[in-house]
Amino acid sequence: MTRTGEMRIAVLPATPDAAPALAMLRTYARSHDARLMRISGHGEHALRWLEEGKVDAVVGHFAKASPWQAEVALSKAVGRHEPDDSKQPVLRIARRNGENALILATDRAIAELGQ
Amino acid sequence: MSLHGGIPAAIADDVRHGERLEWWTLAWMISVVAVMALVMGSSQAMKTAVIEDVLSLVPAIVFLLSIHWERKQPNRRFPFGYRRANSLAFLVAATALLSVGGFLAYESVTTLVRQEHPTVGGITLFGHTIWLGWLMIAALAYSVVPPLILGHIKHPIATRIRDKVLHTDALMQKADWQTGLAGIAGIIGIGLGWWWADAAAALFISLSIIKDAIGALEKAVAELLDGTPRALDSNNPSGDAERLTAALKKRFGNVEVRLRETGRYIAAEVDCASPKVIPTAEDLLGKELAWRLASLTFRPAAADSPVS
Repeated sequence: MTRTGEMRIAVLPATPDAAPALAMLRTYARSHDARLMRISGHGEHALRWLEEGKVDAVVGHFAKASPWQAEVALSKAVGRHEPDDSKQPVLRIARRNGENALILATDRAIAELGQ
Repeated sequence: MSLHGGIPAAIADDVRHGERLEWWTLAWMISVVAVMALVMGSSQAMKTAVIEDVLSLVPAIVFLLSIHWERKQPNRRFPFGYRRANSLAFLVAATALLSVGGFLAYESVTTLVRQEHPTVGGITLFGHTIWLGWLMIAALAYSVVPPLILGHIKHPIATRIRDKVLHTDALMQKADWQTGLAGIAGIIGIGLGWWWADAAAALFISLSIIKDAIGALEKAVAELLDGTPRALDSNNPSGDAERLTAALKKRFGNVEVRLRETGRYIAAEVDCASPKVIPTAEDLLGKELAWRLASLTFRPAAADSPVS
């Protein structure tokens, strides 16, 4: 989140079901007196921006065994159970490593949504 | 017990106690590794602590092996027995300790230089999502208890049986509980947003481990090079060695006395003709420490001494 009160989120193309993930991020931003700002970006670029701290989260379809899993903190599947196939992409929120407050808050929200 | 094999009766009970403690160490530390591996997530402090705990099994294992070999009797292939297995085990244990310290320092410096931000998220247990850091702290707290207790018990036994492997293992246990506390500080630091706390705490601890390990390595190498027996906790000559030298000089005058150590046993060589009455180990070191003297050799001045 920037000092200007913006939480920058990149939503990957072909993510028509991004709404629940965006709602969670919006709630988190609001609790920190920030507003969500959507940034358009493509897969590789968006995740690189995330790694560099240029965006705060990336919403998109990722497999559990994504090659990016060490570089970013991928959430559990949003709004559904984890697929048996670890290579199947499902809706997840990619967060920057070390952003532990955001990571814990979204992990909690995803767990509550799944209940 | 024979001249070059077996455990002297005077220390047999303590040695058996040491063995029991090492079996306990293996059991406890394996349980610690299992618990830590379950909750380590991507925290560098936790990963390092797990690897460090695995390496910390080495001194316990080599102690048990060296005692097994020490009990074996000499044979045609090994006429001097297997007592030097203890010296070799000491070198292995000291190297393991240095590896732990070196690994910890390397990982910490790398994390600080690369400014890696450790990720500690949530975990859902029984329907509640809690911060994984709490589980990590609980696992680390558990990892601190066994080495703290076992190391404390081992230290006096190592001193009584003059066992440098057991002493190094007590140092390893100190490294274990210190790393555990550093890990707890690191996880709390992560919770407070201090990404560097994890690595900084580990780096601080690693320096103390490396210092202990270098001291142990110096003594292990000295022992393998037939140096004068060293004290358990420093590189100075041991009190027993000084006492034996003084006793021999008192009996035979200002003669050259050379001492070396094979495992826990001292061999003495005195530059003088064999006396009519050879003093016993008890005469020289007292009843309690007589077992320390494995052999006493008298070496008359040779007519064909090499020219220096």
